[in-house]
Amino acid sequence: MSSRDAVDAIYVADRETDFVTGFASAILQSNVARLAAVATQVGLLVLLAHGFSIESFAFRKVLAMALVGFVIHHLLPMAMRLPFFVLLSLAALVVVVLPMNALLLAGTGAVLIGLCHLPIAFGWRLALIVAAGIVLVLGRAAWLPMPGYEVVWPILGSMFMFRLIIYLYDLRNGSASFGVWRSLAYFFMLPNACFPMYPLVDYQTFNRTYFNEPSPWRMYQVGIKWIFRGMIHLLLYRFVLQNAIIGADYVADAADLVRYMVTTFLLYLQISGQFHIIIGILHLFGFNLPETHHNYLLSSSFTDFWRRINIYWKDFIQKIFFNPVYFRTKQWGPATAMSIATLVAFFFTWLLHSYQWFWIRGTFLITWQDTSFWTLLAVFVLVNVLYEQRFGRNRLIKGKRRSAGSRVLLGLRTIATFCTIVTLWCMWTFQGSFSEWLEFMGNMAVIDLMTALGILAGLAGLGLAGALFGDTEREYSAGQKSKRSPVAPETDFAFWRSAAAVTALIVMVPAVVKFRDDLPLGATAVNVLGDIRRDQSLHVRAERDQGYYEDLTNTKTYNLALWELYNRRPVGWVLSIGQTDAGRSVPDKFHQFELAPSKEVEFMREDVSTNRWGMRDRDYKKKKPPGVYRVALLGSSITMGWGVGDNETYENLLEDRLNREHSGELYERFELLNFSVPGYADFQKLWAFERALEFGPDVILWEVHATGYTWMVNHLARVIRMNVPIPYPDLQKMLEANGISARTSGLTMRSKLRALAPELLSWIWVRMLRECAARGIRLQAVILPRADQMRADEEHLAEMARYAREAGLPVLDLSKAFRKVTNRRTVATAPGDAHPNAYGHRLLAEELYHQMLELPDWQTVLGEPPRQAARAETAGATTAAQHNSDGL
Amino acid sequence: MSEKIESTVKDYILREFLPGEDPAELQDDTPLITGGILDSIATLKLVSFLEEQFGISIAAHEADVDHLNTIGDIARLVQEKRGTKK
Repeated sequence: MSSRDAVDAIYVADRETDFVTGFASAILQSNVARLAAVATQVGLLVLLAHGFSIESFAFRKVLAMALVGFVIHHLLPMAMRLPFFVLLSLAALVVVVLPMNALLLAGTGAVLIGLCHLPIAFGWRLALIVAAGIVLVLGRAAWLPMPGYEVVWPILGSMFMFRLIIYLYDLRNGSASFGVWRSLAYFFMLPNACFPMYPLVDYQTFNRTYFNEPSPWRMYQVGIKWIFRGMIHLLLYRFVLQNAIIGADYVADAADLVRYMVTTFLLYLQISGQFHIIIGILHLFGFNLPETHHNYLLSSSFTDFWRRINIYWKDFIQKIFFNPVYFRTKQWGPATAMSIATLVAFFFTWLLHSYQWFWIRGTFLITWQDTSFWTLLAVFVLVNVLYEQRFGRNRLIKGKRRSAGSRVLLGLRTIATFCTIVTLWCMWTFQGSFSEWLEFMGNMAVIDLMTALGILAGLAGLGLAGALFGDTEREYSAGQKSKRSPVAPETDFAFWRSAAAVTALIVMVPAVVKFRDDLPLGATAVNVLGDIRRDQSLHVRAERDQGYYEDLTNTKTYNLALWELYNRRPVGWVLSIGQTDAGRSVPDKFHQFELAPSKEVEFMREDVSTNRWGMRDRDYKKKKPPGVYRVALLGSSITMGWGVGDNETYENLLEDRLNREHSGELYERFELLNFSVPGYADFQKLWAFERALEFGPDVILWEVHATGYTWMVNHLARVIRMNVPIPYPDLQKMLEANGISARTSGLTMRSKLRALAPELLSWIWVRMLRECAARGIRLQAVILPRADQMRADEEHLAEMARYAREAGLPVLDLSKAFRKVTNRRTVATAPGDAHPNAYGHRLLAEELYHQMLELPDWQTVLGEPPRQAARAETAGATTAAQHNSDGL
Repeated sequence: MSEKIESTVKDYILREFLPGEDPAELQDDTPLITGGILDSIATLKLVSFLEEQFGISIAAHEADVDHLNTIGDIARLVQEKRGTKK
């Protein structure tokens, strides 16, 4: 009896058991203490995911569902477990993408599965599926209108684009058992609803490993361990995004280049993290699948890398393309057959990456980067394959018995493989032409002794890790490693030891973050840990180049509706004011975008009104009336009031307060005019400044925030590239003097602009100060925080504040406005959106008012009302305390 | 018959893929593919050996963990093939 038959026999025998007896028996046989221990660990993982905002809100919901589902699933008789898993998976689909979308997805999927099992010849079934596939391709490419599918395309693609191929292959070869529940479980498996990038699970393996151990406890523990490991990968990924990665335009020498190359490769931690979590969750439901990744950073050859990174992909390619081609060509000799099969395998790897891109993003991906990467990797792997075929490779039954010389060699090979892979990866993800990439790599020549020593030390560390840990085996559960007999005794697994160790590790993560100040860590580590709970990936992503996997995991860039569902945004949440009548693009003008006058729209579910001058503000006369003290605010989205109502912006709140508490003293009335426009960079604000001068302001408040330089570089690069006339001759000369023109290549232009940024900002301020001095206007800088402000941002803001002071601008520093808020989510408009909400704006208004009272310039305008200031502070503290307790 | 197949396969694996290893450590149920002893290249070499040695033909979809993960699995496959051939 084969292992598959044995599992089937248990399955059938159990199905024949009477339900009540089976249920009672299952409860009696279950070890309540073990079940409680496993459920506790999964519960802790759910809390960890919520506490650290791991992945999307949808994922965290599905993980919580998996916890409840796991307990029920475990207590059910075997015959009911698979149907329950299917129902749970479909329920997760409904919860994540909402009922109508789920119905459409499940219905389409059911048709595709049904076609596979029509009682006609296999060839006809295949033809029908191909025909259905063509219809779906036309729909996905938007060549055929398929209303309702917009949201579900990436998920439908993720579920069927590869699994259908594997399923048909196994169906034709009779390689596995088939049944309704098995098929539904395979295609709609639980966490898929919230992961468009999903491991390529093999149907045969999916079946073979289903409850293939006599006792489930080891399988559950492996699952928990992998979920936890996946979360650690994701936190490391967050660390890379928040603290380590730099954009290509920042690269100026070898140290920068190495940092760029390594961190770009490390972004893959997101995929390995997600895949660990997905397979870990499946373990909780009896799918005893093997590891998807195995120490891929320590690969010691190209074939080794191919076998360690995304192993399920390698298995798929081997099964569907490599083996069949090899078997068909082996009569020409093993070396020839191996060469042809390897090249065919990589050709399809390249093609299917583009195919995957198409189903998830809806566009075709044919780029020189993609083609070169897979071609070069194919050549390297082929050379390695032929070498291994001829000379073999060192294999051991138990491992870890290498000689010292062999370990040194292993370490050196690990270094060589890593260096080659990060170079290839850098080329793959590089945004620019091949010649630009070569020029970019030339930064490696800009190296000093300390950098060279640092790089050598890093490589030595990598080599040491490779020598010590590079030959560990890929992790399988015991059921696969042994003979896979379902009746094999489970003798070598210490459940309680595993449960205690994993529980301690899970608890340790939040404990270390919570008590970081009391631990013997350096200031940098404390700062990093302080930020690690905040998911700022969307914010940071917007500022860096994207790679293949980044582009596929960042749903916001290709399917806003799905992203809204994943991130608890209300459906139809408009993401740019340019999508409403209130915003309009003016691509032939220097400022590129502006607010349209006299509009009333709903934006982010709030009323947004613009006055006749195109300000998001109340109406004001152009000519300043007598007795009025006028303030002009020049900023971007936060000051404009992104995500809050007309009367909730800090600008209007402050205006109301000044008029309530200070009018009739030195001035009859205060008017705050809001010239802010979302996305405005410094040169756009300079354009707004000139508009503001027409309104006769007494003071101008210039918003400074953490993304200042990046936005300035992006805006200038865009207008230069588009040959938009630059209305400032001095600026034009400065750009020309630095070799920046429309003919400059993208990366070079950005690098030059980046280097020039402090000088450009200084030029803006000097110009504005001159204009203001001529008109008797006071110019002041306002430092604004984001709702999810990180410590790195605070450092950047402090630097900007220093620049402003050096340029002669008084500074109103609001960067600590949210200091009393322990739960930053309570001041954000929505999860994943760092704009302050109405409460955040109240805190900003309070802080700005308080700062104004401290500034001598303002004391001459407002006088010194200590009573009001004290009251303001008390009110702010009370409100903050209320919100903190709400949040907790 | 099965013992002879197992012995032949074991000798081949020790000679080709595990030179210098203690033969006693390679059991009939030692995992070959999931244990990392047979990678894709080695698996195909083993298939060629089996076809040549036992005069059988193995299909592409049979060169997998279901059929070749242990010496026992391999012996069963060879026996099945030879039985089918007769």
